[in-house]
Amino acid sequence: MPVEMQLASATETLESSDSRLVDLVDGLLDHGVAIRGELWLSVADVDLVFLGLDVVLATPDRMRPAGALQ
Amino acid sequence: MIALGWTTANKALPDDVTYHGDGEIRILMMKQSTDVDARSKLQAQVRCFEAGIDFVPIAPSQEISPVAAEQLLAESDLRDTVIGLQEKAQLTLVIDMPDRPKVESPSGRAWLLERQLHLSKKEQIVRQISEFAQDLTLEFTPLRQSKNRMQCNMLVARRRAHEVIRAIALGLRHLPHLEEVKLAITGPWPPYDFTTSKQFA
Repeated sequence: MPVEMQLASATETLESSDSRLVDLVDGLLDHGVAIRGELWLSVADVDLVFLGLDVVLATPDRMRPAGALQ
Repeated sequence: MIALGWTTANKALPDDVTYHGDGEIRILMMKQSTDVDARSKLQAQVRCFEAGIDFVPIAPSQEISPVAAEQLLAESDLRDTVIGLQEKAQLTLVIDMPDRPKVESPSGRAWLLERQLHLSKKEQIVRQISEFAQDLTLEFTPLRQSKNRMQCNMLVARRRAHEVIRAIALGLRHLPHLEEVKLAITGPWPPYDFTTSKQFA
């Protein structure tokens, strides 16, 4: 039996009522550059710990105030 | 107004989107300033992308003003990301696995091992997919999964996105042990899952 395969452009995915494509679109809403992030820690596919993170997009040297010791 | 992302593009935009700023990197923003839900922002981003605009997308669920977006650009490494993601697109694969056979596990350890086995089978499928697209793909995100569904994202050269889709679709049709697996290949999308990547090829 061949693999059941569906190909959809971004627009087709947005317009689809197929549940897995709807789920995919819902998932995308939180992706991209975000000020807030989430992290799941899992062992063997079991989610154990959830961390909500406030993220600042900068390298460590940019985070140091001017004149601070390295 | 609401920012949608950062771009170096200078092309015509969809009617409801405009540029903010006049530097090397400009902000894409929606003209409408109120009652814009996350889904409308996502649709506007896709319209921009399909109009040929390369950009680093802001998560549609985020409300970031153009001024805040400019500040973020000035105070972070976003410039490198914007330059690095030029002419790149994301493909997203959704793979639905058949239900795991119900096994009465005698112990917690056996239960974890059994789950691990199921996970490694999933990873094998993703490896097979990546082999088909190996020469065409710049980067993969780690597998994200829930129950019997998994998702991975590939960063590809935008001009080769359809070539990659064809390669995966053709290759997977000939794998005999993927029965019962349902696969959806979607895109090309703006690179939503690669906005923090440093491995641009």
